[in-house]
Amino acid sequence: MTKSSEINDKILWTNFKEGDKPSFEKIFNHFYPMLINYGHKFTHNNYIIEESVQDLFIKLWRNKLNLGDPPIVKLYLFKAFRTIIFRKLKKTASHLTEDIDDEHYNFSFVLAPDQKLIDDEKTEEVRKTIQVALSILTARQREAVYLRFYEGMSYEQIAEMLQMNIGGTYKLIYRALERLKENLGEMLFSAFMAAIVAKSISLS
Amino acid sequence: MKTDSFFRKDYSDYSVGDFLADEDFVTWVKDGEEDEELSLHWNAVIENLHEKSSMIKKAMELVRILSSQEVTGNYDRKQKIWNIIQDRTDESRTGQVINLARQLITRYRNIAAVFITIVLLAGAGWTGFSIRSAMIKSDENVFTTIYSPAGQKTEVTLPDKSRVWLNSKSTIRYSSSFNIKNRNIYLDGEAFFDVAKKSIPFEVKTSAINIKVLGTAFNVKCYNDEDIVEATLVRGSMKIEKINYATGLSEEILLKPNQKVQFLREYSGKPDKDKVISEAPTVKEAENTPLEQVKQVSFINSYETEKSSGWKDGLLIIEGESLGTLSKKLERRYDVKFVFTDEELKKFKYSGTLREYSLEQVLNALKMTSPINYRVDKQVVYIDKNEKANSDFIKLTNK
Repeated sequence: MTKSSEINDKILWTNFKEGDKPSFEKIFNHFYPMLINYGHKFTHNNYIIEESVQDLFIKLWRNKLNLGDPPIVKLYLFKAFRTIIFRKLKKTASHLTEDIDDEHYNFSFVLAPDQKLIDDEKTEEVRKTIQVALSILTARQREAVYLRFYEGMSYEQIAEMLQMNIGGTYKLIYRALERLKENLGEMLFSAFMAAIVAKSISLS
Repeated sequence: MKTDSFFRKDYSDYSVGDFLADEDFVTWVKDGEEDEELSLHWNAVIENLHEKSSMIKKAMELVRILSSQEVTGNYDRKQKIWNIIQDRTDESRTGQVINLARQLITRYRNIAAVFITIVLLAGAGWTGFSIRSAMIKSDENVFTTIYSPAGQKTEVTLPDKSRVWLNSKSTIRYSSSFNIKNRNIYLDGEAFFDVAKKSIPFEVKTSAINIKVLGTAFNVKCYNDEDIVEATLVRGSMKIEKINYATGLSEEILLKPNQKVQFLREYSGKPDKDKVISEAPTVKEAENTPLEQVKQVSFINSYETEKSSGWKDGLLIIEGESLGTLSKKLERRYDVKFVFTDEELKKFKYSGTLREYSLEQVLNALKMTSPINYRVDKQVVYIDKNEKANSDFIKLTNK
């Protein structure tokens, strides 16, 4: 399903490595919202998020001669971006008093209120239930769920992003979903899954 | 995406959960408008299953809530970010620009070194104290206001035994419940705090940021007529809170000793950057002041805190500041007004540390290190271009 966009990414990537600025700009434009969104899950400090994107692209351009050909550009960018933003968060030590490491960090996603339903108390209630259920997960579980269902990444890709083996990734997501089901109940859980799966399909 | 049994499905036994688990249903609710076939199908289902309409409605609502995009980051500055990347990856230009800037900086640094040694000879300490305490009545509270006028610095001991050094043209205000219910101080301007340790948190509220500490020493600079806001921690630990207007959430920044953080106020639709200095600065209630966007611009890890707090010990510390910014500092310190005949002159940059000195002597030092002339007339300092020195200066920088 994602093949055509991946091929397109690859062509742009090859051109960019040869020094083609317009291709580089296209890569930037295509991935900017995704990276900003992803960064937003780690921190609400827009300055840090934007600076991380900026640093990533400046580094890419300056190292373009030494870059390889990643099989999936998106995965490569997400992974590099994650490293940069982690380093920055550690440096500023905002949000957390303890040190930030692979297990201890902030990762949260919040469902936006739909304008049409904003006044509805029930809407608010459902959203809260989901928010609470999500907050019970560990940051790593939340991130894995996000990458799997919102970003449509495969288990292999998530394993690479989070630097763990595939078996561990399956387990991580399986446990996360089990926990969500426990806390949401069958009905809400299936609704949640249907909604996010539909989203990831429409995205890719 | 449509399942094989698309048209043959029987929905009469469906529960809300079944609808939610139905991929076609979810797809239709999400973006059914684009798919005519799906639309027709589901509209027909709703028509035929009248008794299920409330159930379907509920399922639709759930899908909408759940599929509403999560709160996203802010894409407004995409173009700006791209411009920065573009700028910093432009091989044809960067080299030259950086080189020119570097030449200028090195040249000025050398001059500044000379300039420091000349001026360091004299040392006038604390110029003068002035405490003006006024009682202002408000509905619930009686406020004490302390204002340190231009040209003067003020040292105060607060009811909780914390000490405050107030820089020129700065005001602090606290209520009668200070040290009872809270330890809240409202600040406009610059102050150094040496906070007595107590269980009640000590909070400094300004128009841009709020600072929370227990027992520490720190410097805060937040003049209402300056766009740069700074906090420097000498010892202890500090929490800074500010509202992020893009997300509406409050952000926290933790400082450790020897760290300094800078913020920039950003005004939406603000016509010009140089606001007129108000005659008598007033402390506004931080909670009631409509805040502009305040953005963190730098975070310095091992900072020589004397640079921020040196003013209270009579030092004039200039860290690569433009004449424009420096003139504001001098205006407050010497109670004068600067007038520039040429806006370009505001761009000259200086670095250096001076012992307290007379205005005349500081101006002479500036004159020696940059192509300017000055004239002082009744508390007004007129700065204009020194044509001869300027042409020499241009020759030097064009090399």
